[in-house]
Amino acid sequence: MTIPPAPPLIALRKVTRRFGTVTALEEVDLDVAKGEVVVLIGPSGSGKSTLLRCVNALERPDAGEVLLGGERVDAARKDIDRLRAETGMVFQHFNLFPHLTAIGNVALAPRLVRGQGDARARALLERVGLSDKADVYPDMLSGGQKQRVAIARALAMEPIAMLFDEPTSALDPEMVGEVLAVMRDLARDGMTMLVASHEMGFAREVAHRVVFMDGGRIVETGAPGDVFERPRHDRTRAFLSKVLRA
Amino acid sequence: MRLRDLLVRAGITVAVAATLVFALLASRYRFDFEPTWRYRELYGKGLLVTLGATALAFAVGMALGIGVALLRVSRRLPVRHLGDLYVEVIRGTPFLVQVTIAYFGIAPLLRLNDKFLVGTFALGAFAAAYMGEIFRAGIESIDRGQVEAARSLGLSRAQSLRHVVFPQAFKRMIPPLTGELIALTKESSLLFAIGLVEMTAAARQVGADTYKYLEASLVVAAMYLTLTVPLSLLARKLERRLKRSERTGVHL
Repeated sequence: MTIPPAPPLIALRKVTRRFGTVTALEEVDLDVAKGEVVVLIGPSGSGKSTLLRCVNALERPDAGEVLLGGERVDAARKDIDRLRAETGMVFQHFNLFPHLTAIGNVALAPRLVRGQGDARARALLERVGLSDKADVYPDMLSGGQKQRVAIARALAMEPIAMLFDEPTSALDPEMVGEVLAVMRDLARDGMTMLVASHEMGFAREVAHRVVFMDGGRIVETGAPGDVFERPRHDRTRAFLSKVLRA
Repeated sequence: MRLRDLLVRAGITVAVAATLVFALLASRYRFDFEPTWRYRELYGKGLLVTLGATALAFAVGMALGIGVALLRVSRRLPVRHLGDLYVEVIRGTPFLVQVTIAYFGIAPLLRLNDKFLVGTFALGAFAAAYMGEIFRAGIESIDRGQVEAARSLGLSRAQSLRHVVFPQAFKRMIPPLTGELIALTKESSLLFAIGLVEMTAAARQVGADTYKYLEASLVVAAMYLTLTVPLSLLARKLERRLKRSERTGVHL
């Protein structure tokens, strides 16, 4: 007797998204299991961001559907705000609220949506190593610190999955490490993560699965070792030879 | 403001004022402020009308202006066009003409004959066209990523506007809104067209009664500055305090 496999936490079913004449995503299928860390790699414009944004209802697919914990993610549904809070989104450019302090950024959504106090927000800032910066405005934080606050903010609504849209691409090289450390920590705690990234080292070390995208399609997917060492497609090989050489 | 900056500003102001006074004295005109002093009560009444009309018109302009801004950012073309039409008509005609039409054309239809009320609402409706543009530009100047971050956290559209967009947009709107308030203080003088005696009308009357036009005007000019300069200073202070969290602004 076999135990039926658990349903995927995040499921994309033939998701297509076009911008005018450009097809950003074309019939993409992807499952992410609970506790799984999936890293999306691929050149700029390959559809990684659009895929993540569809999961968070920031983009609306033209066709296909996105399921989160079995529920259909659709910007038109009445309880979309609740469903959105189920995923924590981390943006390339942080998008911190400049008029709020670090603690204000983290505590805003729990306070407004759930009427919660700041205790959890403080604990989250401590978790990302920034309890001493609680009352500082984003303007006075380094890029790495900003992104760590942004991660704490995304965790504040206790999401069932975290989405990272190139979280280290806008950072100075010496600040990449501190952000990746926080992400590694999250992965170790069993957080389900979908990450668009150019950090191949991180993918190799932390990802359960690597997905290579190009031109709005998933070209190949597999364990990091397999994809990096033995890519099956020429396109993957060409991409990897460029980014790994650097 | 640092003390040194304050001293520099005070010094320059006094120097310019002294030059003007000296020039006026050198003109050999014999100043006589005694007659204007006798009309101090009329000036006082004018001051109250100016203050009341400006404050009320500003409030009306705010409320209507937000409405105009929301019309103009609507997704529906007919709604958007209504907003555009309003702004075009108001901005394309002089207020002097508008207030005359309001008082002699629109007010009788509504059975209103209170000059102050009609004039003030006309001024507010006039200001709304400009303030609507200030609101719209302020809202549209906020990065899309701010709303995306707010919505991704589960905030509703209204919550995102209220807690993320407006506080940031408001900061950017303070300078143009102050400009509008100062402009209104002066534009309220056009309410004389429907017979309202505010500060400027009071000064004209004093001039006509005493033939001391220059003194009457100098007095009223000083009164306007007493109203508008503190407004500027207050706005600057407020702007600086709100800006603490943002490092912006350049000196050229």
